[in-house]
Amino acid sequence: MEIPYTSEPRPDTGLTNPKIGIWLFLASEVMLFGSLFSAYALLRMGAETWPDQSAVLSVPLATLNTVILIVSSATIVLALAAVRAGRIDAYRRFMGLTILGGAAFLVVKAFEYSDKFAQGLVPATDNFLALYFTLTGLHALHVVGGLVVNLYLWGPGVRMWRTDPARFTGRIEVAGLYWHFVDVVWIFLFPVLYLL
Amino acid sequence: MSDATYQAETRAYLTTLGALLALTVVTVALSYLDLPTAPTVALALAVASLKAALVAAVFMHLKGEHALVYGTLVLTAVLVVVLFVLLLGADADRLFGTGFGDAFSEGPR
Repeated sequence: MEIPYTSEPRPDTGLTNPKIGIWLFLASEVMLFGSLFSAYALLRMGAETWPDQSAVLSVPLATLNTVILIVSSATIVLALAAVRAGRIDAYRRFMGLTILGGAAFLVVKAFEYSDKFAQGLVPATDNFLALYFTLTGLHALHVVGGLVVNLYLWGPGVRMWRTDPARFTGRIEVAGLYWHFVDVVWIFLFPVLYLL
Repeated sequence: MSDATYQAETRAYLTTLGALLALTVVTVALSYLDLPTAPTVALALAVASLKAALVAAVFMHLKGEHALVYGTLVLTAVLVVVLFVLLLGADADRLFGTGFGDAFSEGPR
């Protein structure tokens, strides 16, 4: 069965189905992370004492990860521009860089986590660390998910470029929107968990 | 897409990337200023919102997006505010010194 409106806009919504689908999904993601951010606000404002976050966590590593994720957000939109211009070689370069960025982010995150565990700092230590591991853990899972999709679109998925370039371009756009959202979540997590 | 359009688009993305990296430096620098809590929180969240807005407008092409997408996002924003108000409101007497709980306590009528 053919999936309808993958490339041409649906008359009633004015958007392609993947486009409206990803925005509805991202809206639900905003509520998911919003509920965790509001839990953070409630627990922190109601707490008698709160640890000095920047003393517990590594600000330099988190700054590095912020830079990595922002650069990979730029490279995936450059990949989309390359596809739209029909430059499939440039697309593969930029998508490859995006994948490297996502992988580097996870490596840095793994260093951070293992350093905390080595110091005996775990989610059960206090409310702050429970929130830190929940929020960054959920975010890291989102990075893993994006990485899998981006790897597919960089590798075997690129075949669609020859059979249905319009639909392939739509896929890159949707994957990009998700990746930018993951970047935006980190843009808020960084100051809230590390700096304030 | 013509070569000129492609190059102009690429330049716009790289300029935005530069702005985002500069704002990251601002975020980290602000945390070293040792300002009182309230302005620190307000400034940090303002810079983060500005960065998020740049990503949304330029990278996610929200500038010039379809009305249905705007509608979805406005509804989501309203619901996030409701979420915060409900959750923080549950502990408002302690957090903000409101007296909602008094209405339910025993006492002379």
